[in-house]
Amino acid sequence: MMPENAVQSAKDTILKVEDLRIEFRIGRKWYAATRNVDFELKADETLALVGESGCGKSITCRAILGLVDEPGSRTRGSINFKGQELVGLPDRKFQHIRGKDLAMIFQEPMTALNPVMRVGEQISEAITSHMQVSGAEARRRTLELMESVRIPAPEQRYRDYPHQFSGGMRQRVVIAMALACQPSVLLADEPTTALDVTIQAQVLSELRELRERNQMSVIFITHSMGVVAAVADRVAVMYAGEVVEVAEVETVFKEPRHPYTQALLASIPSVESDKEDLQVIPGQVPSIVDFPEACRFAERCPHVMPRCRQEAPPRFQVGSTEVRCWLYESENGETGQ
Amino acid sequence: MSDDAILKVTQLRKTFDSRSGFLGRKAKVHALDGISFEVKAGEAYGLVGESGCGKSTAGRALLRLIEPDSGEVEFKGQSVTSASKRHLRELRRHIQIIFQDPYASLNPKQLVGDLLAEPLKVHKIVTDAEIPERVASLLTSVGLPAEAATKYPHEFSGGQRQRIGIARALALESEFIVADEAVSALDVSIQAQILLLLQKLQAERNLSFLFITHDLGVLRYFCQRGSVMYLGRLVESGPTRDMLDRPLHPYTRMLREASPSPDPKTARATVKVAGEVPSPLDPPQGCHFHPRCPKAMPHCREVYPEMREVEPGRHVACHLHDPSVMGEQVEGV
Repeated sequence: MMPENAVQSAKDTILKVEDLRIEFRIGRKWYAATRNVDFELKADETLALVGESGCGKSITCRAILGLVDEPGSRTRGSINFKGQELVGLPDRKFQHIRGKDLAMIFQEPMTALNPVMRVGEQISEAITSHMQVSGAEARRRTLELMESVRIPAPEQRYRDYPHQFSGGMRQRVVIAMALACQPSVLLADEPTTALDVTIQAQVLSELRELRERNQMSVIFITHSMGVVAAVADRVAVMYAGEVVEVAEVETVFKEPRHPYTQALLASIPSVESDKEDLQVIPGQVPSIVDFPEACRFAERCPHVMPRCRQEAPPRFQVGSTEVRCWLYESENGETGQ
Repeated sequence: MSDDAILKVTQLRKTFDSRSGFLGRKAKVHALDGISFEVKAGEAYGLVGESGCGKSTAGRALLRLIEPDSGEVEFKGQSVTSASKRHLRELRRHIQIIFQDPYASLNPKQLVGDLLAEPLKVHKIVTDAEIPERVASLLTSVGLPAEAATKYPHEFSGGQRQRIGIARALALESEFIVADEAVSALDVSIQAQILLLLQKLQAERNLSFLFITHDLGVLRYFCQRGSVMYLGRLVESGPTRDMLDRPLHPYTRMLREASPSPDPKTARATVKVAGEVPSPLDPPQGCHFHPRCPKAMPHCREVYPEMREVEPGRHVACHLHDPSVMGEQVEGV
């Protein structure tokens, strides 16, 4: 399904998600919160998972981290991380991966930090819990990490508590903790959403630098197309629990294929230019109990055809883009829309 | 006050007491440090800034939901700041506020119909018999079915709740709406729906808005004019288009450059953002922005620049634009 592109295939796939289906039990029935979730994460790239609330982007991230298998939910499909299958992996084994080779940062840094523990000690703990190093060595690495995420005066701030840090600085602490064991994949769930724009801009550009310097791959979950443009190499757009489009970042902004992606881009008020009219997507995202069996966007789609209401579209390849939409069915290429 | 101004705010000030820590030293936060602006009838005026800049305090102070310490707010020539309790209630009929999280402002135990009927009863807008009809028409005007009246707020999605909040603000046929981050919590597609709804209502009812936001895209789309706030003061005012295309204040420029734009080419340009907003408890001497300003001069550390009109309709508080400071080299940013 991937494009036959020499540069593409030269990069190794580090994480591959195939046909991921996460179901929840509501009453006596099982409902699929996500289905048809397919994407690959390659070495040294940032893949953005973008969509609006309830599209399944966060639950997909939690599934990758093995954090959804509570009673009342079940995960099907495959998540392959460096050759290891993560779906169904016992928690005991997951603990050797999670936080070490697969690290994560979340939206609200304060919930990830212990309020009564010194910041430096929290970062050190992230190191010592996964690696056999002395206390002095852990401290040395912690100071290095604090330096690398641009926390000023790390020696002094080592002894501070989280409440003494600003929002942006707290998120930097959490990033330092995530990087403590040199992960090969970082999952970042809306890490800059709670920050002011000027601080967001700083953290985003630092994340870009850190990704390059540490040779890791990042899955960046966001609802903001502006943030996608700033950080991503490739983009997977999610709608109502499905990945509807996967494309290179430039392509997604220049030639969005899925009607949802097109409408989403047209509904953002621009800072740069005057848009005559915002495009409005009529209606709202269906709730999980009402997800249609066929195309989940059909009811809101301006290009809806009878077939869209009968059958869920498979993935079609259009140029380098993969898109789940019947509009692209004819000869697997451009169709007039 | 120019003839077409519906709301005029002059030198509005509000200081909060703050204690740093238990038994700590008392300190004062100048949330509003003498802000002045005018909103014209039928206009949407934007107030933009980062968290803690005082923009929400400004919105609440003009309705006297927070009592300002000093300054003057005039609505259609009548003083809001010196109004008696009874007069204030009358004025509030005309000025309504909508909040970021409508759920927090809707009583969860009240049916939507009752929520909308309440202001009608309090202000005796229509007779009791006419209430159901009025409620239904309010709901349809914000794009909700009339049956919504028989449901509770929790039965609605975020976007629909914001519609209920808007319907309630419209119930009294108010002319002026303070929208405090009214679309910030919504997904972009829903945000677009609400913005279009507000625009439609603005045109139909000749509404004026004070639109408080942190999103420059929303500011540009919805507001004709506006001000940028930083640590309790306005640093730049003018037509939103001009401010964003040709920012005069270095802070406006920084905000503009930091705003993520949905275009990979511009979004990746290295952002030159220095430092963080200083604590409002202890704002820097001189111009509050000087520690983060790429163009700060020694003079900026000493004297706070006054708001000056530098082009017709455009005001900025920055020494770079003051010929008496700069001599001949007035900055053409």
